[in-house]
Amino acid sequence: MNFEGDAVRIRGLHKMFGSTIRLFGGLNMNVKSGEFVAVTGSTGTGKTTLINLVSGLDFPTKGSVEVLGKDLSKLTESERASIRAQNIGIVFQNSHLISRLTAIENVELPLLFCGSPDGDREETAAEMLEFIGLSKKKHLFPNSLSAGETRKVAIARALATDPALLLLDEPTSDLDTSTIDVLLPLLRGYSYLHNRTIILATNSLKLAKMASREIRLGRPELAADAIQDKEVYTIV
Amino acid sequence: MNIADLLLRYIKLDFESYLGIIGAAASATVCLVASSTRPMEGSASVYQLTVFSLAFLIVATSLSLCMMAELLLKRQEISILRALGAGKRIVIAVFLSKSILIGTLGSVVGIALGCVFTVTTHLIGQPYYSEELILRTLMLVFLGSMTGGLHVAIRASRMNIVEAIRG
Repeated sequence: MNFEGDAVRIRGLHKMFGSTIRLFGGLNMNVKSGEFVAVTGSTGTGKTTLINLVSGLDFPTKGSVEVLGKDLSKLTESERASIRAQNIGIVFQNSHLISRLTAIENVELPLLFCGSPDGDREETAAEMLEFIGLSKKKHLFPNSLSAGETRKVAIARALATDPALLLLDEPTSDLDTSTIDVLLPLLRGYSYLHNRTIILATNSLKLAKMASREIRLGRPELAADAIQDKEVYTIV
Repeated sequence: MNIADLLLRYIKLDFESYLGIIGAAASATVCLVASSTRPMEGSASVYQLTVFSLAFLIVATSLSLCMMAELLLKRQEISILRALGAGKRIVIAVFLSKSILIGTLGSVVGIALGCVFTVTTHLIGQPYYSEELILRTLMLVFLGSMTGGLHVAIRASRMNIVEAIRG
């Protein structure tokens, strides 16, 4: 799906954990369609929480999160699941492959949930694994794959539906330097050529430099500001 | 892989499943043996209703506990499926199909055991088996397992995805 306008639009975002931990402090942020944005910050600043909020897995305490023109808090759980299946690819911090499914079946999952035709799913999943360099291991179960290979399968799974929005939470943590050097330019090229939006959560400044814009999350009370394009977000 | 293949991966029998099968089988056996005797005239319907109600409660409770253990073991995987876009119906189907399978296997084993027990021991007088009684027992265990499974399936579909993924 091609989407024009802001792929992600966040207004006055607050997220509280218990009564003491307060994240984002009224963050306002827009991510344009086709943009490759890195979200950085030290541990505990809310990178993963932001990914969860944008994917509709979690809800803000206050404020709104619009993804591809839809306010997630106004949707039903089924509608959010449908948006995730059709338009959002997610790479979780710990890969989270399904242990009872082979590599290719794991990649087929989002295709299955988004209603891709029967005959196409296996073919598309095989193509994605070939793209990521794992075609020879497509019938192996996750416990037979190395951490790096597991991570690659998770990336292939996120890309399988050609989503309008790709959310990557520390996607390179188990990958070797040479793979990272190949993978990230590929993702950048993919975003540019297909007008796909990528949000990359990382605490590596080196990786963040590959993105077209960086949003640095500060300590919970400090909220966010952008350092590369000198854009400053709401600070509470 | 299609939805049926995915469900098949999840309904594979494991240790908790065998406990559920034992619960359903025990219930079916009790139901059949107790109902196969001819009680005193006039009290037949009350007697059978009591036996069937107790058997239903045992099946529903044992299946509910069994599926709850299943949910605790699989909550992370189920949440990952939800995060990838699986609808609530798929989650409900995973748990319901497994509880129905366990209930069906349990009822078959239970009915077989009940028949063997009644015929070999002759402890409860002339056994009285009708197709209707066997069908009723099957139906009771089926409904009991559906009830026990549905309760857990609905809980599974309403889990907090982020908390469950975090483990």
